[in-house]
Amino acid sequence: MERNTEIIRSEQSGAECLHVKHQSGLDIYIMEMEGYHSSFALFGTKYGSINTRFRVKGEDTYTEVPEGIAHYLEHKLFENEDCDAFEKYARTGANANAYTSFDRTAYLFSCSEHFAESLEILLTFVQEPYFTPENVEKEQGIIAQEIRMNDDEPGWRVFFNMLRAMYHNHPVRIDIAGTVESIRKIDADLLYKCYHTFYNLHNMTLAVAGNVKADEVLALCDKLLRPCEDQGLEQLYADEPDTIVKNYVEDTLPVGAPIFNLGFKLRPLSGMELVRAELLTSTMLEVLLGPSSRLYNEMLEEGLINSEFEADAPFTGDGYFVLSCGGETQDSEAVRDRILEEIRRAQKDGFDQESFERIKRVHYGSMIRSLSSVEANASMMLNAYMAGVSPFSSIESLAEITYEDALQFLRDEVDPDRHVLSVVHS
Amino acid sequence: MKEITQDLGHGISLTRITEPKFTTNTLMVMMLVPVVPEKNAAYALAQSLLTQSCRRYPDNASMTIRLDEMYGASLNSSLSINGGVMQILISGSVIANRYALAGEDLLGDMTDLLLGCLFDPNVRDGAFDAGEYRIQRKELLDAIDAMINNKRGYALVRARQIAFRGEPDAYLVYGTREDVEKLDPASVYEAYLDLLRRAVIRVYCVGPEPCDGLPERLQEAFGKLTDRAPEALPYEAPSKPKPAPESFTEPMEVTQSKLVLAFKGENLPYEAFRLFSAVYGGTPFSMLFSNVREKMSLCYYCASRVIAGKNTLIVDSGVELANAEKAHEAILAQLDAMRRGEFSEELLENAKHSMVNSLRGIGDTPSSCISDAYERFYRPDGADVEERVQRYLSLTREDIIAVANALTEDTVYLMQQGGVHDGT
Repeated sequence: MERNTEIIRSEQSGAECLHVKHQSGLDIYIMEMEGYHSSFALFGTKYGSINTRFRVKGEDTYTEVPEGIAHYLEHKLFENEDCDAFEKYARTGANANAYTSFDRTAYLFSCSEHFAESLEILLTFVQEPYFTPENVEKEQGIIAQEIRMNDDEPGWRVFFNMLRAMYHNHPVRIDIAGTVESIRKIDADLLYKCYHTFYNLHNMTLAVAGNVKADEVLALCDKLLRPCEDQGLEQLYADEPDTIVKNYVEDTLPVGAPIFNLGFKLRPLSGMELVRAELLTSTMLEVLLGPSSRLYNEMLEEGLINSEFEADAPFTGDGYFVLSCGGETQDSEAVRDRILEEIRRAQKDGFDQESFERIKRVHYGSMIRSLSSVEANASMMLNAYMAGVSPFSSIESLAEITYEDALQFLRDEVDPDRHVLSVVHS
Repeated sequence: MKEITQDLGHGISLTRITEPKFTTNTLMVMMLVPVVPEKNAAYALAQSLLTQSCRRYPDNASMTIRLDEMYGASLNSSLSINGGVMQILISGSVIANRYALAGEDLLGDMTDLLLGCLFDPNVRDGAFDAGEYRIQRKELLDAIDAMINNKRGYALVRARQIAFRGEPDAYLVYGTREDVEKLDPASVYEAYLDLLRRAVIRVYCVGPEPCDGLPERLQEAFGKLTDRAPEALPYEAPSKPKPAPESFTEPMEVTQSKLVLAFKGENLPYEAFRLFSAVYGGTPFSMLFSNVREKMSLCYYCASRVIAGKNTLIVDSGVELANAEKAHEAILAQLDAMRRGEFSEELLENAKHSMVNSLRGIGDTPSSCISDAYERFYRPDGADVEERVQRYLSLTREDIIAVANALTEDTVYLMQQGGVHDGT
């Protein structure tokens, strides 16, 4: 079978991987890791909870689907006509799972033997949906319990409340699993519609790392992948204003100490522009709010925060970009005020350049560290595909970003007034 | 992979594992003592004080800056209970010297830092620094209070308290609020010095570089500990089964109830007990997953796990209150089925594959290298990975049926949704 292949190298780390544009339409990434016993494989699609309105070539109107359907589909895809995919994996000993997030669904396994057999199972079951009214109905009880479990999770609740107070219309504001009510509207026909729209190989990637041989992986892909036409998928998101819905939201749940998230709504970006912005903002937030910063240590000393407080990685995707931090505190409004003051001060006077360079070093160390991990390497390649960039683009871009870039970004892109404070207390 | 273990004197050993594929060096000091519940809180405070600052880097800011300079090196501590043994870990991890952009000796720097934390802590006049103590004390009290945030974890802790009542494992590993409030900077430092005297100490170094000179540096540092009296470690601390199952219901303002069951047995062989759990509820093709979740759609999770050193199996599940009794009956029915041998040969073989798959993945992370070396140290037979694989493969369905028949229900804990927690 015809393949377009390229070797992608990281000058900074010396690591490399193979990228293949397979004739079937699938993008395949392979990293052979010498000396490792285990392997990790991810078969993912650009389909998550935000993809609720779409159409393909030849359709005049957009289809709108119930909240939580991507996650529901993930559950149901494990069930094929003859048996459950877990039963098949059980015969190889592989440890299998799947996840659905805002913008993707991925099926995965890790193993230390019988890799080829497990990869065959993965490539086969994801391409063979089997939905019936009975088996779709049966899943409702299980997923309803998953939703209830998340409802009782304070960290989940405080984060989604923040998103709902930040975004007026963008579907990032809906829960990944939907609601107990929305999943009742899901049936086999809708699942097939979503499957055939998003599980097209032109919209998917396979990323494998560890004790694998590229030739073996590609031979299995040649045998098992079913070529398909690019459907010209189009998605429609409701217009999202730059403004936020409201600055403050609170909720109650049994918690030991009140927890909070403070988030800032930024202009969404994509591609390499987003990679660069993520590096700039994560470095900048660490300088301003991280454990070595003046503000962090003052608040720690005053007992306003504890070490649970941290600046989160930028939360980004198609149409959303959120910077946030969070933790436990008895006085979330005081913490918010101190952080807003610090951001405004940094916008005006700048921040410590030496710290910026030091935190860049920390990011470099973290990227080198993750190259030892079979799972982290496979995830890195999948993430790169989803973002439409090359693997290693983060480590290569890190060397290029400067203090001046970060300060400019802080002044131009971060508006302290577009913040949301979300609190959960008992 | 090359592994060398050597004696550093005074009952302290060093295991060096050289593995060229890793991009980091990890250095870990493991201190092991018999569990004495009254001391849990002091050890919890000591381990965090030792890694948050030291004399050279006397506060969180200066310590963090030093770690940042070392390319985001990590310095961690933890404590956990395994059977009757309290395990206190102090560890550091840093990227390998070959990745240092300015040719720094990062492993040497990490060794200096870790030894500084252990032997030159932030102490004045026989007590931990008062300011740092205040911060870490608050951290610990917050962590104890926050246990309730994770409802699944909280339910497991509560079930263990009932299952192991009167035994050291019934106590919280970090102690209680009251325990913490009784301590002060001097008593915690004294507890640390006592720990250095009484603990079995094992040092592990894992990384791509052979760590030349490390044994000598460690020997010099640990050689100062002349007043040593390590205690015997009770890894097996079997829990006595109750004459009849004890039930406990705790109302809470949550939307999903949590059901936790504890089963106990006597003389459960190590591998057979773990393989039993894999068949019963430890895998996504187990009896509990296939029946209670998939066929009956009662819950999102219903899983079993072995509590090491305690001859105890825990099953936990998140269910609707209306289905809790039905789930309880279904969990017991699956155990009964296993007692009668009603599980397929294929399921047994698949569970073996799963165990073997996990075992053969050992060695791909620094932490698994250390866990494996430690397991070979404390298990009397010292079996290596391949020997353990063979033991699992040689188990028969009769071995699994025997485990099922040896287990009896001991504890039933229910976190009941819709209620109001009374704060106890």
